Amino acid sequence: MLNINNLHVSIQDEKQNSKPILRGVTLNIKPGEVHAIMGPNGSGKSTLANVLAGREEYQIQQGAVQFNNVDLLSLNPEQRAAQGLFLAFQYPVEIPGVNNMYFLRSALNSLRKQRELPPLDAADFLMLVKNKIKEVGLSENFLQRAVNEGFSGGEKKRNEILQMLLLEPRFMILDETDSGLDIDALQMVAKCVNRLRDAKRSMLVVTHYQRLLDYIEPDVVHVMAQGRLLKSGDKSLALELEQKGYGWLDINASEAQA
Amino acid sequence: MITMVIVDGQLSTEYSPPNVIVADLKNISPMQADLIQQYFPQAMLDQSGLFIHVPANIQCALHLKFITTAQNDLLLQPQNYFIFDENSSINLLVEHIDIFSQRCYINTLNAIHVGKNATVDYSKITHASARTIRFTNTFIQQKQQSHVQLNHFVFNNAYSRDDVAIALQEPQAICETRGFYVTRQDHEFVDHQIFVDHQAPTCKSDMLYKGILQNKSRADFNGKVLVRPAAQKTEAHQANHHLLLSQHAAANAKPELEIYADDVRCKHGATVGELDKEALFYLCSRGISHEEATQLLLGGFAAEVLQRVTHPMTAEYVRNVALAGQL
Repeated sequence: MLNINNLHVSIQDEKQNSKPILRGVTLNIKPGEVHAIMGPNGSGKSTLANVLAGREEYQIQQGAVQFNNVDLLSLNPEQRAAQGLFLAFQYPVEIPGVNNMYFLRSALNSLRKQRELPPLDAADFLMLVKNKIKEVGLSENFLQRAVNEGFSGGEKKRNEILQMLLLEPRFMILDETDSGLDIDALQMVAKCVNRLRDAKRSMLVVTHYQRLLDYIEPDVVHVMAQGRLLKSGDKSLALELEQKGYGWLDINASEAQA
Repeated sequence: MITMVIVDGQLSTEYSPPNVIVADLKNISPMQADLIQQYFPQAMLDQSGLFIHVPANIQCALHLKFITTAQNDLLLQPQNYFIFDENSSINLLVEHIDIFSQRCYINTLNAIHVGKNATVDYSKITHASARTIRFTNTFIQQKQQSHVQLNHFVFNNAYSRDDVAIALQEPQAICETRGFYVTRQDHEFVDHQIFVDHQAPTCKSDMLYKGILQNKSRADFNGKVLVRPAAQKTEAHQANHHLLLSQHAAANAKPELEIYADDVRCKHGATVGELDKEALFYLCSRGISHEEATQLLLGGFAAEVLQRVTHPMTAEYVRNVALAGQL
């Protein structure tokens, strides 16, 4: 489903110097698989998530990404969304003055249009969204507020999951969705995500903590450091990391070799 | 809402709303002239212009359409006098439209008296005046517990300057001044010079002006709040925000506070920026096209001002007629 091949990505810092962040990431995710990426701060996890979603400020230096046999990197963010890609943001953006319900309906109807489906009218959409918003544990008032404006950290993440439930993506990227969540919210996220899990949907879960993976069980766990995937394994790798930290992986030694 | 039309400076409607006087200055009675001079001693009544009088306890909604149709260059210098007596309530929608794109120079003076406990909602829309040069001076004097909302909407003007001076003369008067403007052509210029004079204690003023600038257009904003020594317990807010959609657009903002009382709450702020790239990416990542996402963000930027237009018909009119196709 998603094939990342030797991806090198850099970003320009304030002094306009090019700073490499991803240094050759190769990753293959098959339909139905859930992959988790763990790693220390600054290892490039969020960069990978954002590059896949199409954020502009990164420069692709080398490598390729195929998504269902389409060259993902040649598409703009809205085309990627139309292909079924969804990024749950680590820091969802506040958009003053833009009504949340209007935004959600615009998003759903944009995707329906690209899939040649008729748009949902306001009444039909209201029915749909009222059902979904219950599942993420937000009150209906949040539909009438501006997108994410003044929402707490947890409410923002719930709003992300609401978008995910409405848009029903084929490939979901959760970028530290668990950060800032209490246990109840974490279980809600996991429940919603697990309900979407099926043989055709895949997922990339970026997280610092093993805790989320108790609820969303990954098929494969990768450790990222210094812009590379150093080690991959099954879910027991996450447990091992939780116990031992990252030190035993000898991240610095791998840097010395590079 | 009753609509009255003023063509090239001439009032072309004969009737007035019930209990309300709307008259050409040339046709006013000596008693009406005395009334104007009682409130505005310097008034020069031999000019062209309008006299609008809403007596005490009367409510009315009025739509004034100023239309210029001149086929040749036109110079107009109207003076309009508005007297809103005690406990009156008026919703005034003032619209300026140019039908032919000839050069017009319009220099307007508005003098507005707002009596005790009167409520005034004054919205002005200028649009489709691509070759018009427009200067407007508005003087407002507010008595005790009066409430004025002044909304300025400017679209498609070659040159537009609005000078507003509001005197809060008695306690507990409230004035809210707001503006929203969009410039599109290279040489458009929109200028707002807003002065609020807190003369009495316990008054409130709130200023909010927002503009979206494109191409090589320019906008200026100069807001000043003066709090005199007697004006204790004043509350004054002032904000001005510009969005520049082009590298060549320019905005100048100068928010000023001048405070001589020691028990007041005043704040001011100004920003000049471009569209929020993070927000744009967020919307696009949900499948919304770049163009539609831009429209959503511009609409969101405008919403802060538009949501405060309280009169439902005015709000709808601004949205549907004036704003359509502007963003």
